[in-house]
Amino acid sequence: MIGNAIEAEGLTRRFGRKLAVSGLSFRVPHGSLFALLGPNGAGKTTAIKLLMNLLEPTRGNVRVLGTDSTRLGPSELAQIGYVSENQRLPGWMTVAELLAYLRPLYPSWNEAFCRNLLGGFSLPLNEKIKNLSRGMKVKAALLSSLAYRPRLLVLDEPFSGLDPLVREELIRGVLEWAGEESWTVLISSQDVDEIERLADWVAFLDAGNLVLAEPVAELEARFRRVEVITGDEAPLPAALPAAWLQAAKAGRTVRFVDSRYSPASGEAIAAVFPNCAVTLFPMSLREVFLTLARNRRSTSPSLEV
Amino acid sequence: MLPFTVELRSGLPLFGQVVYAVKKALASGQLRPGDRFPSVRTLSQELKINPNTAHKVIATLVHEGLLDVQPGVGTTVAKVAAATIPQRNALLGDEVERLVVEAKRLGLELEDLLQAARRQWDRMQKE
Amino acid sequence: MVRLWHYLAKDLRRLRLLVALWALVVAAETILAGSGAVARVEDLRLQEALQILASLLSLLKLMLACVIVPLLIQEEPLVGTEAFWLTRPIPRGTLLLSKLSFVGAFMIVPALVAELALMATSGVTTRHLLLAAPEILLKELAWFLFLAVLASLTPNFARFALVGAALLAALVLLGLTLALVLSSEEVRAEIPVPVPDSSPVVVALLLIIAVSLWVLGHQYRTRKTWRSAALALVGAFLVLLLSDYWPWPFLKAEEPRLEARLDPQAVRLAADIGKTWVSDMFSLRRKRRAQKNVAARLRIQGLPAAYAATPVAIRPRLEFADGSAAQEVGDLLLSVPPDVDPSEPLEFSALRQALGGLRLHYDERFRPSMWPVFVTVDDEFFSRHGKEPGEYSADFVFRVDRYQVVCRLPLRPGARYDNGSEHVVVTDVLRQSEGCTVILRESNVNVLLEPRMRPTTRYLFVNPGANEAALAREFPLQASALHAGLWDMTMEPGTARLMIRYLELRFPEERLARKELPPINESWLSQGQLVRIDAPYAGRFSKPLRVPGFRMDTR
Repeated sequence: MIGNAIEAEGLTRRFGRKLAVSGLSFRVPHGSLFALLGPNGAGKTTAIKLLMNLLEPTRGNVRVLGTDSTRLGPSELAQIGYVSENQRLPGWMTVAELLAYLRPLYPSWNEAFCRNLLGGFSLPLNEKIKNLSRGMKVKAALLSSLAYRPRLLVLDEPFSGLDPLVREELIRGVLEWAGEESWTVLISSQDVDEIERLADWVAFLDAGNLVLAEPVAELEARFRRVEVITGDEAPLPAALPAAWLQAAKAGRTVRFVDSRYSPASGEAIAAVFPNCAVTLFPMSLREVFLTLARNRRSTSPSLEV
Repeated sequence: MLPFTVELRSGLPLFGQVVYAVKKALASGQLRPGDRFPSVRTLSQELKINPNTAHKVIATLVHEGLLDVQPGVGTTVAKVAAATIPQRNALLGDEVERLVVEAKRLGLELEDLLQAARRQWDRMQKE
Repeated sequence: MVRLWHYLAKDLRRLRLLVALWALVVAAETILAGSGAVARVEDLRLQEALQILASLLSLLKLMLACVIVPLLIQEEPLVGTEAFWLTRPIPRGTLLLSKLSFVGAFMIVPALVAELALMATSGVTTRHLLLAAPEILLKELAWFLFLAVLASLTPNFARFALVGAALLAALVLLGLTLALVLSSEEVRAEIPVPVPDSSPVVVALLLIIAVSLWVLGHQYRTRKTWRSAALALVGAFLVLLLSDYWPWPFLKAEEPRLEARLDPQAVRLAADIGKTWVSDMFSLRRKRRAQKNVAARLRIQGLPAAYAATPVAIRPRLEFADGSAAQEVGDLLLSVPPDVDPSEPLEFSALRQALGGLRLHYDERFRPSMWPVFVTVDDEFFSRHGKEPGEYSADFVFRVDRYQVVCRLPLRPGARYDNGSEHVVVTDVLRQSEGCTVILRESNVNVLLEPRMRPTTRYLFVNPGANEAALAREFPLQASALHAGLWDMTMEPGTARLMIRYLELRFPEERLARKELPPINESWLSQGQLVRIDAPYAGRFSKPLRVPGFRMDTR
């Protein structure tokens, strides 16, 4: 399916005097696995609450599956799955009762798939939800959001506080549902490594502002860690290209991150450091974000990268 | 479990790494023509990668004639002659590049590099 | 509609124990109220225990409502962003409807059915049943909807309880301040005759229901809590305003027409000013000036037989030669000891006349002798002008009651009087050495939609052969009433829809026995009757009075 599962335009939310998110504009294409990354307090949860209509925007808007978020009704919600550590399942119900309660609400409920997931998660059917461990609760929440094969799955920090085994089961569960059918996943996390292999789009949020939102492949293509061995110990030249971040020199070695790398970058580097040995290293998503975060702390926040 | 070896390193494009790993497996005989190849779902599940990526991998391999997709049967390794030596050489390209870069950095000459390689080969031949 | 049942079933499954408890408590309360167990039981301790049980049940019912409603509504809370249901395809209109249906079906209907059943078994007429049902529904709905609104504006039970308690405290404080501010001395001079008007109450109830539904609808639709709370406050203000100043009395009891029976012109007032009765006026506000009430005997002549008149408003003017005047009346009536006024009170004359002129025996200790207060003056005014004769003129407004025999019951168990929904039954007659005790069960309805004044009732033992009657001493044994939520408890204490009263009537007192009455033996009992006399309000009239040469201090 072409088009966007989510389209945000100038999305802003204010709490009192604090701007939790400001001017977010991005799109989540159908069929993508969109990772929303950022440090604590960056506004990820607020952004997600805005698009799920748990909060209303102060300014701007966001369209989810073609509908404005403030107009999300039962027919749209029947195609959206939502798992968040901020949401509590009804503790008094057993897993079986929860599923029985939800089943008639979703026209696309798939009982076979549900049972399949149940087995995969090994969830006890007749245990009250409040007696389940934390990992089990998240699994139950995910199950209750996947069983009807939603067109959009929104996961707000689903892995926080869970042990690796449970995380793996959850990822399996999500991937189980993905596949031939049209589906979109929006997942927010502080843990970049987890998401690295799964995401094909990534957005970075910092202090309520959107720093970037682009396909992972593009990001990986344009970031490189560069190491140059110069001939002397002279200090770094003052005016370096703006796309070179966190430039530093120790002894003869210069290191920086090129945020706009292309095959032609070799010439730019040679122009500044003629006749030097240059080594390029690819960067993991985590390294990219650490660089960006450090960069924002040390320079003006309005710098576009 | 996947029928071929793959070690994913962060930072490098996933797609390229998996395709590369499959081609190496084909070259080394780990994957033989007619063998079953995992589906998109299995591939994504086992490697914990985005199904879109898994899909692209298989599509690319099919496009290059290395895999066959038959309805009802699934994905299998195509009946293709074993890679010729020049092709195998190409598969090693990455590793060779890395080796040469390291050697140059340490200040070695080509002769030293070849000597070291021969020594390592002999040692492994004995096992 | 299938969906509605889906949500109802889920809520029922979760709250089934509490709902069952509710039904149980309602049933127990009803049975206890109707069975008269408290009165019939002879063991005093058991009696007390049962009375405590009745109060406990009532309180338990209140608490259950305050627990079940928030639990129900806050299972899908409307405040906050963490609720499970918010991201599920649950239509809000259906959700609200399911909550309201739950309350209606599992809480209001049992209460309604229980009360109607009790009424039916207490001999209430079908007509009154049909009138009582809407009243019960309105009151229960108003109460439950209020709880629902509070629950919809709070995120959890703790906050609900806190806000509820705060509201209650605020209401109590508001009531107290209003009472203190408005209770000035001037108000006391006039006790209006309250012809009951149900219109403000009905209007208030309907408004409360309408406002509650409006706020609930708004909150469920928009989840903007502060705005809904503001709407609720505006609505509450509207309710108070409209119900207090409601101009159209569409449900008011009729003011009885006095002119048909009594000609005010024929009534003459005569004051015995030879002896006044002065007493200090007791005031709650001690800081005010010290005052004295001056009362004198007022004879009212020209009233028809079996009619009694009591002053309800006095507007005096006492002028002296030097121009100073007093125009105030603090209390309306003063109680006067028997040796000061040995005459028969007007009320007793009316009783006798209603009975057809028998000799009436009563205990001196309980004979009311009330003299109207002619004027109230400051202490220093009294000492200055006390002995001085002045020009007194006043307008008296009287309330007239007509005494009439309602029924004559033989003194044996089972004797009964039935009149529509009103029933009086003798349940026990106990012979004692010098008299007898009769236990009586009275039951009557008091429906909002048919307001009427409840007359004073008096019971007398009458021996037609000996032409004698004696007032019975009444000892209330038990009054049972069912309450609809908080409404009946706080708004109208003591006037529930179905009143079942057990009375113990004792005759005669020891002192009387030592006087002239014949011994109470079997023949007396077989001849004797228990007579009930009612004194319904018959209307009012005003009359001027002039007394030249009125002296306040006659000592």
